Amino acid sequence: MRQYAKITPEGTKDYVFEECEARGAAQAALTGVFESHGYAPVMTPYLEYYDVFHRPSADWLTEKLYSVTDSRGRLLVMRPDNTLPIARVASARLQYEDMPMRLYYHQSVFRRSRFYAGHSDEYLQCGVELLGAQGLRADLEILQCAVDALRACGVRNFRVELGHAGFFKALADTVSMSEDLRAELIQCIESKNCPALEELLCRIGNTGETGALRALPRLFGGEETLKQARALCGLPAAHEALDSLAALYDCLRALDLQEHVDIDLGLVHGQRYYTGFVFRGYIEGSGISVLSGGRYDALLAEFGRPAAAVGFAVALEPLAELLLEQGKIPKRAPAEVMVFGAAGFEAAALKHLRGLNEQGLRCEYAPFESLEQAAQYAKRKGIPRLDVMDAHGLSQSAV
Amino acid sequence: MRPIRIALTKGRLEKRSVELFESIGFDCAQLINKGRRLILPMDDYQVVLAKAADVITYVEHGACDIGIVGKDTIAEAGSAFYEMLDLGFGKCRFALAALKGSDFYDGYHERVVASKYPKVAKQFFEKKGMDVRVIKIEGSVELAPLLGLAHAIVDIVETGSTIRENGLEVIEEIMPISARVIVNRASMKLRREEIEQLLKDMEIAVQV
Repeated sequence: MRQYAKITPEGTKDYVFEECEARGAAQAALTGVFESHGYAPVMTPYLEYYDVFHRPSADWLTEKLYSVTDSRGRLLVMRPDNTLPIARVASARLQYEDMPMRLYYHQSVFRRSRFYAGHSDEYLQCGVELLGAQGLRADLEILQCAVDALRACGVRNFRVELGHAGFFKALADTVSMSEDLRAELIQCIESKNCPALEELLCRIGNTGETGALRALPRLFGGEETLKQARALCGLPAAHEALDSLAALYDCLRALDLQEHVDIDLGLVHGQRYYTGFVFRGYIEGSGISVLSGGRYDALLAEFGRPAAAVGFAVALEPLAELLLEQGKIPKRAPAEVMVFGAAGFEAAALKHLRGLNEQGLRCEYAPFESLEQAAQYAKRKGIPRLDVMDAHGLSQSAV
Repeated sequence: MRPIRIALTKGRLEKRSVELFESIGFDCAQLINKGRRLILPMDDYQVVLAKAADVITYVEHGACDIGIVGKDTIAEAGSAFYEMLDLGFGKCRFALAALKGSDFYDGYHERVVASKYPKVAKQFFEKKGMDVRVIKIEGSVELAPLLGLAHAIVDIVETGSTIRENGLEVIEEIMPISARVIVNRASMKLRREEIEQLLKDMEIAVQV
């Protein structure tokens, strides 16, 4: 194992100095937004039983998970997702808490990615879940909160795409097909792969709403997209989904967000627990989405506490990087004072340092044997002031 | 904002891709006389030439917005991007081929398959629920069954002449292949109008 002693595992990294500060600043900004919207913090363990993620509404392939066993041989996984553990907490320890419940978290997720593709296996998600709230008001608040979260981190140029899991479901339910075919169908639509979709629908046969399914990858753009979709199929469930998106879009216009929002009905989240509107957000400089969320009204019932729910998460890394790029994280300044205690005056020097700390000064306590060493170090580090405690008492000098 | 960046696959698809852009009316002089430069201007775009798998990597990360790459590479390496257009050129197919006269599916012995595309091979047999030992070969895959290392190969077949010349025959077609246009997801959303226009131009140009 010696050869791995100095490196971090594939897909993980160390954070140092201003990288930590940028993450801290972004997290603080996000916490501010979440708190101002009335959300309360929760933390769940890094490790969860595999059963939390192995369910009909979630589709975690074992090859994507980091797993271990506990002392009794039960399968544990490093959480690959935050929504499921939070649904678990809400239905277990928080089962008697009043609904609606507003929870927020800053938690890493762990997913195995392709080897040497440059992706992260561990990344920090910051998000909220609004549990026990149905309808337009809750959807709207979540979207506004997501936008506030991006803006709080200094993002000006962003786009949010809105879709609806119910629209795809209404269309797909008219066609009888196996789970495998359905997964393939989702894959084609998610990747906007029209030729493959065409071929797949031919294989399934021209029954049901295949015409509208065929159009799904191209159903994206502004508000007019909803009209196009309406003309494509007459299913009441599909129209209901479009109506709710239209209502949401109207409110977003009233909030002056329309220039940031697109409709993409081909946004069929791989996560099967979504039942209502779904969204993703993109910012300049990040090739992958930084924001992801939606409504999942059936998930909590699986944990024994039926309740409507909606939420989102932002990826912290690109936001922290943006803060660094924008120069919003100042370079770390050296300490303001170095305090040196001569032999026999170690405690007195430390006492003096605590006094300076109380005045709000950042100080380094010199761990050196000689004053000369302390002065050299202070000079190298750019510490401007050196306080010395010795037989003559306290003396202060500029470095 | 930086110009839209297009990644082209070097080699087999390169010439046809450049012809495609010429037929749209872009000035491709720099692409043809590229010298040693790696990033080449083409009208308001920037073009880079890369190995197929790298085209996918650049587009996936958003370092390039658009890529032209074969379906073979997408099937082996692909994951998160939009695959928006089938350009119709660079046509060939993935096929399973074995020594002429041998019955690959007969009996219960362990089957060994050699391929430059281990993921494609593995998935093909996983779909059939068949256990197959896949060995990755980097060069001429036809050699593996001739040397007795493998019972069959999964490889790209264009005309089938290489396969026949080596005493092999195609026993099953796996997947048709052609050049595709892939688009980074964030770029598609952030620069929709520019990219949609370019895709439209490309679609019209290949139909002519």
